[in-house]
Amino acid sequence: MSGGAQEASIRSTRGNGAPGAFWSEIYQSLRNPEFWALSSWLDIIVRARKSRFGILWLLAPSIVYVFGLGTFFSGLQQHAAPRDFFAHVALGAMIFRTLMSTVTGSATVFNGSYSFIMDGHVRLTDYLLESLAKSFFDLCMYLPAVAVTLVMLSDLHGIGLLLAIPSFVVIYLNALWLAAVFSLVGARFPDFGQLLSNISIFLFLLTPIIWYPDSMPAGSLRAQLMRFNPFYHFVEIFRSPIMGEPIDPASLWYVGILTVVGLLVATFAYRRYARFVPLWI
Amino acid sequence: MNARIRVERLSLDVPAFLQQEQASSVGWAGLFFGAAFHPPRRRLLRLLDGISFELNEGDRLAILGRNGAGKSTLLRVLNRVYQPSEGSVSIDGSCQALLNMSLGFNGAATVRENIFLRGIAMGLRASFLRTQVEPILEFSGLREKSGHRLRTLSSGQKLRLGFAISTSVQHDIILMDEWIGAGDADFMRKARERMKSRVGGSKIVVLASHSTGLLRDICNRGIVLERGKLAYAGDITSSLKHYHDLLARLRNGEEIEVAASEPGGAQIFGAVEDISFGPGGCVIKGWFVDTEGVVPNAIVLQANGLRYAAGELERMRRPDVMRHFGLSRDDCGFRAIIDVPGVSRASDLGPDLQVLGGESSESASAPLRIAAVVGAMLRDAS
Repeated sequence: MSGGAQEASIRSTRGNGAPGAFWSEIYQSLRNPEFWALSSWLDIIVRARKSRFGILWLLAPSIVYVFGLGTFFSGLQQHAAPRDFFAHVALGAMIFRTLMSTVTGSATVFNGSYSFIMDGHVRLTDYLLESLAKSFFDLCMYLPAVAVTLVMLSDLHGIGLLLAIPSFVVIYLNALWLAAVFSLVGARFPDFGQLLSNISIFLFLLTPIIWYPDSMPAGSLRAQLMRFNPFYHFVEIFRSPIMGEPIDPASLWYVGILTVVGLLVATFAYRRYARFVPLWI
Repeated sequence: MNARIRVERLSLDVPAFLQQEQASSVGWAGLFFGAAFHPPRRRLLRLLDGISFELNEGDRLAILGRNGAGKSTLLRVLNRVYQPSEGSVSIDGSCQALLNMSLGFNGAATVRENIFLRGIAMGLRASFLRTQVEPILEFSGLREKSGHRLRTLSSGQKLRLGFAISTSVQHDIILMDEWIGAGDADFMRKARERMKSRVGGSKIVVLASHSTGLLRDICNRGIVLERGKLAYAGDITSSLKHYHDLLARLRNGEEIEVAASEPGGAQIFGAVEDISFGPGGCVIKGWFVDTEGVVPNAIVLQANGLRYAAGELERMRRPDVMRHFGLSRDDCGFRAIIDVPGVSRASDLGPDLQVLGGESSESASAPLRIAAVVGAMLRDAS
């Protein structure tokens, strides 16, 4: 092998400065997706490899959630058509699951990548994108179930499906800052990941996924708690247009402000704390 | 691009979690409850303190020190994993750390997939890796295992795979924590050859080890760390000597206090191998060099309490010395003619003769070792 060919094939995965420039590192990671794409993909397929059904198993949670819970709880809803309730559950569960798996995944991603970080692979945004890629895969596993429920939907709004694309972009921008912030917190406090998995079921029930938001009496404490829950608003801006329901302007404001503030917090937190991650884990 | 490592006044503080000290009189129950309910306290520990050095192409640095002196931590800082709390580290050139080679795998993925994962994590391009998979499998002797899941491999096989991947490309700088030795005799032989060629082909090597013979073979410079401080920096021979002195003093129960050393101030060392007398006076032959590989400019002879500057100083080629210390130049030999009035025989110089090297005749103060032959000559005569 000639020396020149080798030098061309070695990329620097480390800068000469401390990690901390959030946006330029994100850009670098997006330019060089090989590491995080491969490592998240391996993590996913080895989960499937342990079983005979393989990747089909990964579809199971979505089917159980959408059709199992959907069938059971549709009987408790008085006003809506039972057929439409499945789409309500499927869209809500998909968005909730994506965001929640981003948060829980990123809380443990640095600890899980200990050996790579210690080996000098310290562009930490690679690990953030790894956890985003895994959550995106979880989202894809919901798509078949969602497609079935949309076919069942009595009144599908095509314009709502188009609006889902910008909502989706906004949701992933939020997933990005969630991943950045929670991965740092998770690296500093290792028990944080466990806490998250404990409260995730509570958050799932608090979000109107298996119930309708208007079944909460307006102005009650419970309605306020629901509105305080950010997952509600993310689910709402994505789901309502598809279902042909109006979006509460307050949800748009909430999500907009959360996106800007969250990204700012992520930028500053990353600049301040990314350099400490190898010491913490 | 020239490979270079420059470390300036590097300090590293690390948060550590300490459990409350318990009185040894506490019983079993106290021990159990204490372990469960006493929250750990957070304290900052200074693992590295004010370390400075610079490595240029051709330098092979040995990091010496007791266990826990900060050797591995320093390697991790050089590997850009830990960011310095104070001071700066700048590194030019591609850098590969051979620190923990059997880690960093995905146990449930196949051997082939892991080669890609590790290779890409090292910064290799996938297109390039595709050409490397076969040589790596070949080298590690795992060709028939390529489709097996990684966790079914034995620990020796994992290490072989890690070694084969980590050393598959030549980097400018190699950082090593102990020399790698694992696997059966056949693999050891291959690994040794591969390491030799990688070390030989790299521009800078940093090696932390306790094996004196190995360090003497490979390195030409050394630093001694003691409790995170730079206790000594110099060429490999004097560093090893300093390290062994340090160990000896510790065995004697002495407390070692390392004063924060100023960067720079290279030390001069060398040897006087022959003293004879010619028409111009006393002719001294030998060699000298300083710890940064620079040959000093002046020789002074000190005898009977008086200093005599060399009237004539001629550089000589000494390829043997260059090879022994891994120097970059071979003109470190000298032949100095010094006129010492009233002296025409070696015995007249007296047994307390010293030959000093330095940058100028005025400042020369580093005594050169007197070779045994010369010493005997001086003694016999008197």
